[in-house]
Amino acid sequence: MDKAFLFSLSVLIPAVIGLIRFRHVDDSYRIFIVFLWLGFIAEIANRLLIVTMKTNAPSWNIYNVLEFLILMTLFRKWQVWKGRERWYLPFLIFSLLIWIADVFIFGNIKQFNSYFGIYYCFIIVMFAITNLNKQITTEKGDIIRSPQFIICIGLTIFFTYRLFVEVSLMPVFSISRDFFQRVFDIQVYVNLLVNLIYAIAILCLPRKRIYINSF
Amino acid sequence: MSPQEKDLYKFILIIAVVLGIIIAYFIFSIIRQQRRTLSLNQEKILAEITTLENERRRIASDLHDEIGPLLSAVKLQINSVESEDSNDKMLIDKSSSQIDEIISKMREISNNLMPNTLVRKGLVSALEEFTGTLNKTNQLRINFSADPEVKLSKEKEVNIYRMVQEIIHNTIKHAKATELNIRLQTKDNDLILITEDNGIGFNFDTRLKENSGLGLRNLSSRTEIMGGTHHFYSQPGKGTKYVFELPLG
Ligand SMILES: Nc1ncnc2c1ncn2[C@@H]1O[C@H](COP(=O)(O)OP(=O)(O)OP(=O)(O)O)[C@@H](O)[C@H]1O
Ligand SMILES: [Mg+2]
Repeated sequence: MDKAFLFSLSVLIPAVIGLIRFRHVDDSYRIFIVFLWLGFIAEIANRLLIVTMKTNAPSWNIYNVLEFLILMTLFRKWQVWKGRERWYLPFLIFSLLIWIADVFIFGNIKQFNSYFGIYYCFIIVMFAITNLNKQITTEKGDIIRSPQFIICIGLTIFFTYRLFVEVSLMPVFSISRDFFQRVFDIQVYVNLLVNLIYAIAILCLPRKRIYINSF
Repeated sequence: MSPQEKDLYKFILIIAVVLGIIIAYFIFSIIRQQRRTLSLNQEKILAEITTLENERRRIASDLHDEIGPLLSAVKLQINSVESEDSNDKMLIDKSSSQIDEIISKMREISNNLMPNTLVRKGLVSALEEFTGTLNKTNQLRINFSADPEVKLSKEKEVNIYRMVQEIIHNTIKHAKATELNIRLQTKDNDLILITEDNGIGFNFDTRLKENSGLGLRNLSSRTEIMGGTHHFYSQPGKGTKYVFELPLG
Protein backbone atom coordinates (compact mmCIF):
# COMPACT_ATOMS: atom_id res chain seq x y z
CA MET A 1 0.00 0.00 0.00
CA ASP A 2 1.33 3.38 -0.91
CA LYS A 3 1.34 6.46 1.27
CA ALA A 4 -1.40 8.31 -0.61
CA PHE A 5 -3.86 5.47 -0.17
CA LEU A 6 -2.93 4.88 3.45
CA PHE A 7 -3.33 8.57 4.29
CA SER A 8 -6.60 8.83 2.45
CA LEU A 9 -7.97 6.03 4.63
CA SER A 10 -7.75 8.48 7.53
CA VAL A 11 -11.21 9.56 6.42
CA LEU A 12 -12.35 6.45 8.29
CA ILE A 13 -11.58 8.14 11.62
CA PRO A 14 -14.28 10.82 11.38
CA ALA A 15 -16.53 8.56 9.32
CA VAL A 16 -16.63 5.78 11.92
CA ILE A 17 -17.12 8.18 14.82
CA GLY A 18 -19.84 9.81 12.75
CA LEU A 19 -21.56 6.52 12.16
CA ILE A 20 -21.57 5.76 15.87
CA ARG A 21 -23.12 9.13 16.63
CA PHE A 22 -25.35 9.19 13.55
CA ARG A 23 -28.65 8.64 15.34
CA HIS A 24 -28.07 11.39 17.86
CA VAL A 25 -27.16 14.29 15.63
CA ASP A 26 -28.91 16.94 13.62
CA ASP A 27 -29.97 16.38 9.99
CA SER A 28 -27.38 18.70 8.49
CA TYR A 29 -24.56 16.81 10.21
CA ARG A 30 -25.95 13.54 8.92
CA ILE A 31 -25.39 14.89 5.43
CA PHE A 32 -21.83 15.59 6.45
CA ILE A 33 -21.36 12.04 7.73
CA VAL A 34 -22.69 10.74 4.41
CA PHE A 35 -20.15 12.99 2.72
CA LEU A 36 -17.35 11.33 4.73
CA TRP A 37 -18.51 7.85 3.80
CA LEU A 38 -18.80 8.87 0.18
CA GLY A 39 -15.15 9.91 0.39
CA PHE A 40 -14.22 6.51 1.75
CA ILE A 41 -16.20 4.64 -0.89
CA ALA A 42 -14.55 6.76 -3.57
CA GLU A 43 -11.11 5.80 -2.26
CA ILE A 44 -12.00 2.12 -2.49
CA ALA A 45 -13.49 2.55 -5.96
CA ASN A 46 -10.33 4.37 -7.08
CA ARG A 47 -8.22 1.45 -5.87
CA LEU A 48 -10.37 -1.15 -7.59
CA LEU A 49 -10.32 0.74 -10.87
CA ILE A 50 -6.55 1.21 -10.74
CA VAL A 51 -6.13 -2.52 -10.32
CA THR A 52 -8.64 -3.49 -12.99
CA MET A 53 -8.54 -0.65 -15.53
CA LYS A 54 -5.16 0.94 -14.75
CA THR A 55 -6.85 4.32 -14.21
CA ASN A 56 -9.22 5.67 -11.62
CA ALA A 57 -10.42 8.53 -13.83
CA PRO A 58 -14.05 7.34 -14.18
CA SER A 59 -14.65 7.04 -10.44
CA TRP A 60 -12.79 10.29 -9.88
CA ASN A 61 -14.99 12.16 -12.37
CA ILE A 62 -18.17 10.78 -10.87
CA TYR A 63 -17.04 11.32 -7.30
CA ASN A 64 -16.34 14.99 -8.06
CA VAL A 65 -19.88 15.72 -9.09
CA LEU A 66 -21.40 13.69 -6.24
CA GLU A 67 -19.23 15.44 -3.70
CA PHE A 68 -20.17 18.78 -5.17
CA LEU A 69 -23.89 18.02 -4.95
CA ILE A 70 -23.72 16.75 -1.41
CA LEU A 71 -21.75 19.74 -0.20
CA MET A 72 -24.21 22.08 -1.89
CA THR A 73 -27.06 20.34 -0.05
CA LEU A 74 -25.11 20.78 3.17
CA PHE A 75 -24.58 24.50 2.60
CA ARG A 76 -28.23 24.89 1.74
CA LYS A 77 -29.16 23.23 5.04
CA TRP A 78 -26.85 25.68 6.77
CA GLN A 79 -28.80 28.48 5.12
CA VAL A 80 -26.00 29.93 3.09
CA TRP A 81 -28.65 30.41 0.37
CA LYS A 82 -31.06 32.20 2.64
CA GLY A 83 -32.78 35.02 0.78
CA ARG A 84 -31.41 33.82 -2.57
CA GLU A 85 -33.23 30.51 -2.56
CA ARG A 86 -34.57 30.91 -6.11
CA TRP A 87 -31.05 30.98 -7.54
CA TYR A 88 -30.21 27.61 -6.06
CA LEU A 89 -31.65 25.42 -8.79
CA PRO A 90 -30.35 27.47 -11.74
CA PHE A 91 -26.95 27.41 -10.08
CA LEU A 92 -27.02 23.62 -9.71
CA ILE A 93 -28.07 23.19 -13.33
CA PHE A 94 -25.34 25.55 -14.50
CA SER A 95 -22.75 23.59 -12.50
CA LEU A 96 -23.97 20.28 -13.87
CA LEU A 97 -23.69 21.65 -17.40
CA ILE A 98 -20.08 22.55 -16.71
CA TRP A 99 -19.46 19.03 -15.46
CA ILE A 100 -21.10 17.46 -18.51
CA ALA A 101 -19.17 19.73 -20.86
CA ASP A 102 -15.90 19.01 -19.06
CA VAL A 103 -16.33 15.26 -18.80
CA PHE A 104 -18.21 14.39 -21.99
CA ILE A 105 -17.71 17.14 -24.53
CA PHE A 106 -14.27 18.65 -24.09
CA GLY A 107 -12.80 15.68 -22.28
CA ASN A 108 -13.83 12.14 -21.70
CA ILE A 109 -14.74 10.09 -18.69
CA LYS A 110 -11.63 7.94 -18.95
CA GLN A 111 -9.27 10.84 -18.39
CA PHE A 112 -8.70 13.40 -15.67
CA ASN A 113 -10.56 16.56 -16.61
CA SER A 114 -9.62 19.52 -14.50
CA TYR A 115 -11.95 22.38 -15.44
CA PHE A 116 -14.92 21.24 -13.39
CA GLY A 117 -12.52 20.36 -10.57
CA ILE A 118 -11.14 23.88 -10.53
CA TYR A 119 -14.60 25.41 -10.77
CA TYR A 120 -16.09 23.45 -7.91
CA CYS A 121 -13.11 23.75 -5.55
CA PHE A 122 -13.42 27.47 -6.04
CA ILE A 123 -17.17 27.48 -5.35
CA ILE A 124 -16.79 25.38 -2.22
CA VAL A 125 -14.07 27.62 -0.81
CA MET A 126 -16.36 30.60 -1.43
CA PHE A 127 -19.30 28.99 0.36
CA ALA A 128 -17.16 27.82 3.25
CA ILE A 129 -15.80 31.33 3.75
CA THR A 130 -19.28 32.85 3.51
CA ASN A 131 -20.48 30.44 6.17
CA LEU A 132 -17.47 31.16 8.39
CA ASN A 133 -18.27 34.84 8.23
CA LYS A 134 -21.90 34.22 9.01
CA GLN A 135 -20.83 32.35 12.13
CA ILE A 136 -19.11 35.45 13.50
CA THR A 137 -22.45 37.06 14.16
CA THR A 138 -24.70 34.07 14.71
CA GLU A 139 -22.65 31.80 16.95
CA LYS A 140 -23.62 32.40 20.56
CA GLY A 141 -21.13 30.12 22.26
CA ASP A 142 -17.45 29.39 21.96
CA ILE A 143 -16.83 29.34 18.22
CA ILE A 144 -13.86 26.98 18.32
CA ARG A 145 -16.14 24.27 19.59
CA SER A 146 -18.82 24.87 16.99
CA PRO A 147 -18.91 21.87 14.62
CA GLN A 148 -20.09 24.02 11.73
CA PHE A 149 -17.13 26.31 12.19
CA ILE A 150 -14.63 23.45 12.39
CA ILE A 151 -16.09 21.72 9.35
CA CYS A 152 -15.95 24.93 7.30
CA ILE A 153 -12.32 25.42 8.30
CA GLY A 154 -11.59 21.89 7.14
CA LEU A 155 -13.38 22.51 3.85
CA THR A 156 -11.58 25.81 3.31
CA ILE A 157 -8.14 24.30 3.93
CA PHE A 158 -8.75 21.19 1.88
CA PHE A 159 -10.28 22.84 -1.15
CA THR A 160 -7.87 25.76 -1.20
CA TYR A 161 -4.96 23.34 -1.42
CA ARG A 162 -6.75 21.12 -3.82
CA LEU A 163 -7.41 24.11 -6.05
CA PHE A 164 -3.78 25.08 -5.77
CA VAL A 165 -2.53 21.61 -6.62
CA GLU A 166 -5.03 21.22 -9.40
CA VAL A 167 -3.97 24.50 -10.99
CA SER A 168 -0.27 23.65 -10.62
CA LEU A 169 -0.83 20.35 -12.40
CA MET A 170 -3.05 21.68 -15.18
CA PRO A 171 -2.53 19.77 -18.40
CA VAL A 172 -1.31 22.94 -20.13
CA PHE A 173 2.11 22.36 -18.56
CA SER A 174 4.09 19.34 -19.61
CA ILE A 175 5.52 17.75 -16.51
CA SER A 176 7.35 14.64 -15.45
CA ARG A 177 5.79 11.86 -13.44
CA ASP A 178 8.10 12.53 -10.48
CA PHE A 179 7.16 16.22 -10.39
CA PHE A 180 3.47 15.32 -10.51
CA GLN A 181 3.88 12.90 -7.64
CA ARG A 182 5.67 15.39 -5.43
CA VAL A 183 3.20 18.19 -5.96
CA PHE A 184 0.35 15.78 -5.47
CA ASP A 185 1.87 14.77 -2.11
CA ILE A 186 1.01 18.23 -0.78
CA GLN A 187 -2.64 17.31 -1.14
CA VAL A 188 -2.08 13.95 0.48
CA TYR A 189 -0.73 15.55 3.66
CA VAL A 190 -3.42 18.21 3.70
CA ASN A 191 -5.98 15.45 3.34
CA LEU A 192 -4.68 13.75 6.47
CA LEU A 193 -4.76 17.01 8.43
CA VAL A 194 -8.29 17.83 7.30
CA ASN A 195 -9.61 14.38 8.19
CA LEU A 196 -8.32 14.90 11.71
CA ILE A 197 -10.06 18.29 11.79
CA TYR A 198 -13.30 16.60 10.69
CA ALA A 199 -12.89 14.06 13.47
CA ILE A 200 -12.70 16.90 16.00
CA ALA A 201 -15.82 18.45 14.48
CA ILE A 202 -17.72 15.18 14.78
CA LEU A 203 -16.65 14.84 18.40
CA CYS A 204 -17.94 18.36 19.04
CA LEU A 205 -21.41 17.62 17.71
CA PRO A 206 -23.88 18.45 20.46
CA ARG A 207 -25.24 15.40 22.13
CA LYS A 208 -28.92 15.34 22.87
CA ARG A 209 -29.39 15.61 26.58
CA ILE A 210 -32.11 13.75 28.33
CA TYR A 211 -33.69 15.18 31.44
CA ILE A 212 -36.30 13.27 33.29
CA ASN A 213 -38.82 15.40 35.04
CA SER A 214 -38.96 14.27 38.59
CA PHE A 215 -42.63 14.79 39.19
CA MET B 1 12.85 15.88 -12.22
CA SER B 2 14.74 18.26 -14.49
CA PRO B 3 16.53 21.27 -12.92
CA GLN B 4 13.71 23.55 -14.05
CA GLU B 5 11.17 21.28 -12.47
CA LYS B 6 13.19 21.25 -9.27
CA ASP B 7 13.06 25.04 -9.15
CA LEU B 8 9.40 25.07 -9.98
CA TYR B 9 8.75 22.51 -7.26
CA LYS B 10 10.55 24.67 -4.71
CA PHE B 11 8.52 27.63 -5.84
CA ILE B 12 5.28 25.69 -5.45
CA LEU B 13 6.29 24.57 -1.97
CA ILE B 14 6.94 28.15 -0.94
CA ILE B 15 3.56 29.24 -2.22
CA ALA B 16 1.95 26.35 -0.35
CA VAL B 17 3.55 27.49 2.90
CA VAL B 18 2.51 31.11 2.34
CA LEU B 19 -1.00 29.92 1.60
CA GLY B 20 -1.00 28.00 4.87
CA ILE B 21 0.05 31.10 6.79
CA ILE B 22 -2.68 33.17 5.19
CA ILE B 23 -5.33 30.58 6.01
CA ALA B 24 -4.08 30.32 9.59
CA TYR B 25 -4.28 34.08 10.00
CA PHE B 26 -7.74 34.10 8.45
CA ILE B 27 -9.00 31.51 10.94
CA PHE B 28 -7.37 33.32 13.83
CA SER B 29 -8.96 36.62 12.86
CA ILE B 30 -12.41 35.04 12.60
CA ILE B 31 -12.10 33.57 16.08
CA ARG B 32 -10.99 36.91 17.49
CA GLN B 33 -13.74 38.82 15.72
CA GLN B 34 -16.41 36.41 16.92
CA ARG B 35 -15.27 36.77 20.53
CA ARG B 36 -15.42 40.55 20.25
CA THR B 37 -18.85 40.52 18.66
CA LEU B 38 -20.09 38.16 21.32
CA SER B 39 -18.93 40.23 24.27
CA LEU B 40 -20.11 43.47 22.67
CA ASN B 41 -23.51 41.95 22.09
CA GLN B 42 -23.73 40.69 25.64
CA GLU B 43 -22.84 44.09 27.04
CA LYS B 44 -25.56 45.63 24.93
CA ILE B 45 -28.23 43.19 26.06
CA LEU B 46 -27.09 43.52 29.65
CA ALA B 47 -27.38 47.30 29.46
CA GLU B 48 -30.85 47.08 27.93
CA ILE B 49 -32.16 44.64 30.47
CA THR B 50 -30.64 46.52 33.41
CA THR B 51 -32.21 49.77 32.22
CA LEU B 52 -35.54 48.04 31.76
CA GLU B 53 -35.56 46.47 35.21
CA ASN B 54 -34.39 49.66 36.93
CA GLU B 55 -37.11 51.61 35.23
CA ARG B 56 -39.73 49.05 36.24
CA ARG B 57 -38.50 49.09 39.81
CA ARG B 58 -38.64 52.88 39.90
CA ILE B 59 -42.17 53.07 38.49
CA ALA B 60 -43.35 50.29 40.81
CA SER B 61 -42.01 51.96 43.91
CA ASP B 62 -43.25 55.41 42.83
CA LEU B 63 -46.73 54.02 42.37
CA HIS B 64 -46.64 52.10 45.59
CA ASP B 65 -44.94 54.64 47.82
CA GLU B 66 -46.26 57.92 46.47
CA ILE B 67 -49.67 57.36 44.93
CA GLY B 68 -50.63 54.70 47.46
CA PRO B 69 -50.52 56.88 50.59
CA LEU B 70 -52.26 59.72 48.74
CA LEU B 71 -55.15 57.47 47.79
CA SER B 72 -55.39 56.12 51.32
CA ALA B 73 -55.56 59.69 52.60
CA VAL B 74 -58.33 60.55 50.14
CA LYS B 75 -60.26 57.51 51.21
CA LEU B 76 -59.93 58.45 54.86
CA GLN B 77 -61.13 61.95 54.14
CA ILE B 78 -64.13 60.80 52.18
CA ASN B 79 -65.11 58.34 54.88
CA SER B 80 -64.91 61.07 57.48
CA VAL B 81 -67.50 63.16 55.68
CA GLU B 82 -70.74 62.99 57.63
CA SER B 83 -74.01 63.57 55.98
CA GLU B 84 -77.63 62.80 56.72
CA ASP B 85 -78.70 62.87 53.13
CA SER B 86 -79.11 59.31 51.77
CA ASN B 87 -78.04 60.40 48.28
CA ASP B 88 -74.81 61.78 49.67
CA LYS B 89 -74.27 58.64 51.69
CA MET B 90 -74.63 56.50 48.61
CA LEU B 91 -72.18 58.69 46.74
CA ILE B 92 -69.66 58.46 49.58
CA ASP B 93 -69.97 54.68 49.73
CA LYS B 94 -69.57 54.41 45.99
CA SER B 95 -66.51 56.67 45.90
CA SER B 96 -64.99 54.80 48.79
CA SER B 97 -65.36 51.44 47.11
CA GLN B 98 -64.02 52.86 43.84
CA ILE B 99 -60.97 54.12 45.66
CA ASP B 100 -60.50 50.66 47.13
CA GLU B 101 -60.62 49.31 43.63
CA ILE B 102 -58.05 51.84 42.43
CA ILE B 103 -55.77 50.94 45.30
CA SER B 104 -55.95 47.24 44.60
CA LYS B 105 -55.51 47.77 40.82
CA MET B 106 -52.51 49.95 41.55
CA ARG B 107 -51.04 47.28 43.83
CA GLU B 108 -51.53 44.77 41.07
CA ILE B 109 -49.80 46.95 38.50
CA SER B 110 -46.96 47.72 40.84
CA ASN B 111 -46.67 44.06 41.70
CA ASN B 112 -46.54 43.10 38.05
CA LEU B 113 -43.81 45.62 37.42
CA MET B 114 -41.70 44.44 40.33
CA PRO B 115 -43.13 41.81 42.67
CA ASN B 116 -42.83 42.75 46.26
CA THR B 117 -42.28 39.18 47.33
CA LEU B 118 -39.42 38.86 44.89
CA VAL B 119 -37.64 41.82 46.43
CA ARG B 120 -38.37 40.84 50.03
CA LYS B 121 -38.38 37.05 50.15
CA GLY B 122 -36.63 35.93 47.00
CA LEU B 123 -37.30 33.94 43.87
CA VAL B 124 -38.81 30.76 45.24
CA SER B 125 -41.41 32.53 47.37
CA ALA B 126 -42.27 34.89 44.54
CA LEU B 127 -42.81 32.04 42.11
CA GLU B 128 -44.86 30.11 44.66
CA GLU B 129 -47.04 33.15 45.11
CA PHE B 130 -47.32 33.81 41.38
CA THR B 131 -48.23 30.25 40.45
CA GLY B 132 -50.55 30.07 43.47
CA THR B 133 -52.63 33.01 42.31
CA LEU B 134 -52.76 31.72 38.75
CA ASN B 135 -53.87 28.28 39.89
CA LYS B 136 -56.88 29.83 41.60
CA THR B 137 -58.14 31.55 38.49
CA ASN B 138 -56.88 29.54 35.52
CA GLN B 139 -57.74 26.29 33.81
CA LEU B 140 -54.05 25.51 33.61
CA ARG B 141 -52.67 23.54 36.52
CA ILE B 142 -49.15 24.71 37.38
CA ASN B 143 -46.96 22.48 39.55
CA PHE B 144 -44.00 24.37 40.87
CA SER B 145 -41.23 22.83 42.93
CA ALA B 146 -37.78 24.02 43.93
CA ASP B 147 -34.78 22.68 45.76
CA PRO B 148 -34.64 24.42 49.13
CA GLU B 149 -31.00 25.45 48.77
CA VAL B 150 -31.46 27.63 45.67
CA LYS B 151 -29.52 30.82 46.37
CA LEU B 152 -28.97 33.52 43.80
CA SER B 153 -27.99 37.14 43.30
CA LYS B 154 -30.81 39.70 43.03
CA GLU B 155 -30.23 40.33 39.31
CA LYS B 156 -30.39 36.66 38.49
CA GLU B 157 -33.53 36.23 40.55
CA VAL B 158 -35.25 38.96 38.57
CA ASN B 159 -34.11 37.44 35.28
CA ILE B 160 -35.28 33.95 36.16
CA TYR B 161 -38.54 35.28 37.49
CA ARG B 162 -39.18 37.07 34.18
CA MET B 163 -38.30 33.95 32.22
CA VAL B 164 -40.71 31.79 34.18
CA GLN B 165 -43.33 34.50 33.86
CA GLU B 166 -42.95 34.52 30.07
CA ILE B 167 -43.08 30.74 29.85
CA ILE B 168 -46.25 30.66 31.93
CA HIS B 169 -47.83 33.42 29.85
CA ASN B 170 -46.96 31.63 26.64
CA THR B 171 -48.37 28.38 27.96
CA ILE B 172 -51.62 30.07 28.89
CA LYS B 173 -51.80 32.05 25.66
CA HIS B 174 -50.68 29.53 23.05
CA ALA B 175 -50.19 26.00 24.34
CA LYS B 176 -53.79 24.81 25.04
CA ALA B 177 -52.24 22.79 27.85
CA THR B 178 -53.91 21.53 31.01
CA GLU B 179 -50.73 21.08 32.98
CA LEU B 180 -47.40 22.84 33.35
CA ASN B 181 -44.55 21.53 35.48
CA ILE B 182 -41.84 23.90 36.62
CA ARG B 183 -38.82 22.77 38.53
CA LEU B 184 -35.81 24.62 39.88
CA GLN B 185 -32.88 22.52 40.99
CA THR B 186 -29.18 22.82 41.58
CA LYS B 187 -26.71 20.48 39.96
CA ASP B 188 -22.99 20.88 40.62
CA ASN B 189 -22.42 24.58 40.01
CA ASP B 190 -25.48 25.16 37.88
CA LEU B 191 -29.02 26.12 38.51
CA ILE B 192 -31.30 24.09 36.29
CA LEU B 193 -34.73 25.31 35.34
CA ILE B 194 -36.97 22.78 33.65
CA THR B 195 -40.46 23.51 32.44
CA GLU B 196 -42.72 21.13 30.62
CA ASP B 197 -46.28 21.48 29.37
CA ASN B 198 -48.65 18.99 27.75
CA GLY B 199 -49.92 21.38 25.10
CA ILE B 200 -49.80 21.57 21.32
CA GLY B 201 -46.11 22.34 21.04
CA PHE B 202 -44.42 24.29 18.26
CA ASN B 203 -41.28 24.50 16.21
CA PHE B 204 -38.98 26.77 18.15
CA ASP B 205 -36.49 27.74 15.44
CA THR B 206 -38.96 28.60 12.71
CA ARG B 207 -41.28 30.39 15.14
CA LEU B 208 -38.44 32.48 16.47
CA LYS B 209 -37.66 33.66 12.95
CA GLU B 210 -41.14 34.36 11.62
CA ASN B 211 -42.74 35.59 14.84
CA SER B 212 -42.72 39.21 15.86
CA GLY B 213 -43.23 38.35 19.54
CA LEU B 214 -40.59 39.35 22.03
CA GLY B 215 -41.11 36.51 24.49
CA LEU B 216 -38.87 33.84 23.02
CA ARG B 217 -36.21 36.39 22.13
CA ASN B 218 -36.18 37.65 25.71
CA LEU B 219 -35.81 34.10 27.00
CA SER B 220 -32.67 33.74 24.89
CA SER B 221 -31.29 37.16 25.83
CA ARG B 222 -31.74 36.68 29.55
CA THR B 223 -30.14 33.25 29.40
CA GLU B 224 -27.28 34.70 27.45
CA ILE B 225 -26.49 37.52 29.87
CA MET B 226 -26.44 35.07 32.76
CA GLY B 227 -23.90 33.04 30.78
CA GLY B 228 -26.20 30.05 30.61
CA THR B 229 -27.42 27.72 27.91
CA HIS B 230 -30.89 26.66 26.89
CA HIS B 231 -32.39 23.66 25.18
CA PHE B 232 -35.82 23.44 23.72
CA TYR B 233 -37.61 20.23 23.07
CA SER B 234 -40.82 20.90 21.29
CA GLN B 235 -42.55 19.39 18.35
CA PRO B 236 -45.97 20.23 17.03
CA GLY B 237 -48.44 18.11 18.96
CA LYS B 238 -46.04 16.91 21.62
CA GLY B 239 -45.89 19.66 24.22
CA THR B 240 -43.07 22.00 25.04
CA LYS B 241 -40.09 21.47 27.25
CA TYR B 242 -37.45 23.99 28.17
CA VAL B 243 -34.21 23.26 29.99
CA PHE B 244 -32.07 26.16 31.14
CA GLU B 245 -28.65 25.68 32.69
CA LEU B 246 -27.51 28.78 34.50
CA PRO B 247 -24.19 29.06 36.30
CA LEU B 248 -24.65 29.83 40.00
CA GLY B 249 -21.42 31.71 40.67
N1 LIG C 1 -45.72 26.78 25.16
C1 LIG C 1 -46.06 27.00 23.89
N2 LIG C 1 -46.88 26.13 23.23
C2 LIG C 1 -47.22 26.36 21.94
N3 LIG C 1 -46.81 27.40 21.21
C3 LIG C 1 -46.01 28.30 21.80
C4 LIG C 1 -45.58 28.14 23.16
N4 LIG C 1 -44.76 29.17 23.47
C5 LIG C 1 -44.69 29.93 22.37
N5 LIG C 1 -45.43 29.42 21.37
C6 LIG C 1 -45.53 29.94 20.00
O1 LIG C 1 -44.39 30.76 19.75
C7 LIG C 1 -44.78 32.04 19.32
C8 LIG C 1 -43.81 33.09 19.82
O2 LIG C 1 -43.92 33.29 21.21
P1 LIG C 1 -43.43 34.66 21.84
O3 LIG C 1 -43.52 34.56 23.31
O4 LIG C 1 -42.10 35.00 21.26
O5 LIG C 1 -44.45 35.73 21.25
P2 LIG C 1 -45.92 36.08 21.78
O6 LIG C 1 -46.21 35.34 23.04
O7 LIG C 1 -46.85 35.87 20.63
O8 LIG C 1 -45.79 37.63 22.06
P3 LIG C 1 -45.14 38.34 23.38
O9 LIG C 1 -44.46 37.27 24.18
O10 LIG C 1 -44.18 39.32 22.84
O11 LIG C 1 -46.26 38.95 24.09
C9 LIG C 1 -46.19 32.22 19.82
O12 LIG C 1 -46.95 33.05 18.99
C10 LIG C 1 -46.75 30.81 19.81
O13 LIG C 1 -47.29 30.51 18.54
MG1 LIG D 1 -45.02 35.38 24.72
